[in-house]
Amino acid sequence: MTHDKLPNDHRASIYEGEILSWSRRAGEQESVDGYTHCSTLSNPLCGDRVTVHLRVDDGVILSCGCEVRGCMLCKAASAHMATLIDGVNTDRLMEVTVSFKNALTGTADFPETHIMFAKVRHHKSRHSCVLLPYEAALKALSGGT
Amino acid sequence: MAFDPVEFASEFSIFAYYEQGDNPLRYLDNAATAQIPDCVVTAMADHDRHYRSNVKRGIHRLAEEANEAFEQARTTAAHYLGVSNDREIVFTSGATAGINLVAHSLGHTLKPGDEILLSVLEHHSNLVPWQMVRERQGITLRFLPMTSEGMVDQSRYDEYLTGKTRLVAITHGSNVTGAITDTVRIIRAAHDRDIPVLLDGAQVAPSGPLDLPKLGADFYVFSSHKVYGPNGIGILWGREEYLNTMPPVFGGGEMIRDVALNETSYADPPHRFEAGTPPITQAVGLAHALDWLQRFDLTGMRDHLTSLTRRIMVGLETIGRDGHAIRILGPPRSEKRLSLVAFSIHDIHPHDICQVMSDLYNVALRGGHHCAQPLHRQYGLDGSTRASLAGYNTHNDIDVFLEGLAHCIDILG
Repeated sequence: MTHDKLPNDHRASIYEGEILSWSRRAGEQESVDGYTHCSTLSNPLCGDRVTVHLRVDDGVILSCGCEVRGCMLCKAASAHMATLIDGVNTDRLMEVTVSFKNALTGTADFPETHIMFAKVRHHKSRHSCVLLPYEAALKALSGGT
Repeated sequence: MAFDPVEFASEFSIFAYYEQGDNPLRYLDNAATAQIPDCVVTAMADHDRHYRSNVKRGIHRLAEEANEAFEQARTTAAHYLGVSNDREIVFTSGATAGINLVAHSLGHTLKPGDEILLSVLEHHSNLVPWQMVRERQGITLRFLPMTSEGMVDQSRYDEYLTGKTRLVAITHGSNVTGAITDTVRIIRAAHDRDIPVLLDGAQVAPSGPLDLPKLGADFYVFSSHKVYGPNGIGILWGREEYLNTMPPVFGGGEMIRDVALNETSYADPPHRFEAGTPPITQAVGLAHALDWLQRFDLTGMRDHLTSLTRRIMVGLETIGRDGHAIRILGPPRSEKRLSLVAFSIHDIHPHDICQVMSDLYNVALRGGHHCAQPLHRQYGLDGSTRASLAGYNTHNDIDVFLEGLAHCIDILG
């Protein structure tokens, strides 16, 4: 198969609206007093690093803090996740992560809560940026540091 | 004929293919991989259509044709490096493989306490292989520091050369700071102590043919994909007297002289270091790329790239004066430097810059640590954004890049 030209994919900027505002909220809550779970994960692609602190009681996430050294997408996803999982059952975190991953890879629609990340789907190299805080939170729950 | 970047660019179909609407591709990621001209792609396809065979031991006509093309490629690479002895040219999979080959081959001869002298500017490819040798052999790695201008600091070089130093392995030109290493003193002082010197030429080789006898190093590596050639092949040049004493790293295929069940004797260099079927088609492509490149006015090309590099630096300084904290890594523009500029902008992540520049301006940049994490840590950074040039880049590319970057800062800042 040959192509004379690359199909024009009309790429638009990811960086608008909610992503920008959520990224600016990163750092509002970096640590959690009396946290019960903590984990740090790095993205080997870019060196981004997320530390997640969780305070969990009786299977419920009571508070989440994210310390982010990374790109705007990673910051936005971290701040958004911290709010989203506040007060939810720990099992729900895994469900949210799976549905977010599936939406990014195109095997499912984006859940309403994550619709602002829809444009990231077309940028595979950036999927790890928005998933990093989720992976760090799951690692924290599984006992990682 | 004077160098014309537009004429140069016309040899690359990718620019027409990758045009997005009214946005031509502005490819400024050449320090990672340069584009490949159509004639090199055609030469490789022609080779595979008409001369495909394994090399070195075949008797039939195709094998002889393939072998001749492969060995002619070796001669072409030797000429590009200014050396006359083809036996000093080893085909590898790239500069990284060349350094690994030297590290693991020489490594067998090293003892605990022996020292390898590197610098903090090194690409991971000239760092990690030596760390692996250190873990295996118990050697010591020492590192020349960096000057405030992003160059190898040679002020205390003599103190770093000790009776235990077995090799100096250093970048010929940094893929982050763009600094070109002044190798004269490095090589002379090492040779005064009978210490061989390896230069990582990955970023310098694309500038045009080299004169290795004049340079005086003992090992030199570069990658094809940065000199307009195909991926998967590179060159290790080594002085014959060193190659002759070095054991092979990989076994099997055509690197043997005689094999018995319990012992093997090895072929002479360079074949000793080319186990298995070599990258024959890629060697043909690399040779074609080197010949093709030398058809151009390379002095004119270097002048053009120097002009573009300065245009980038002046543009960044101007944006910086508008209140954005832009830090250019490496020597000032008054200094001779490679045609690449890495920079950081306070509070804006390199990947965000690269994303916006690609999506909105069709400008290809590279962001991250550029396989030089220790170097970035010297600057207190996790990464940087890098624009790196090749012969097809134009003043217009730079102007679009600078305009886009200013817009980026508006969006992301």
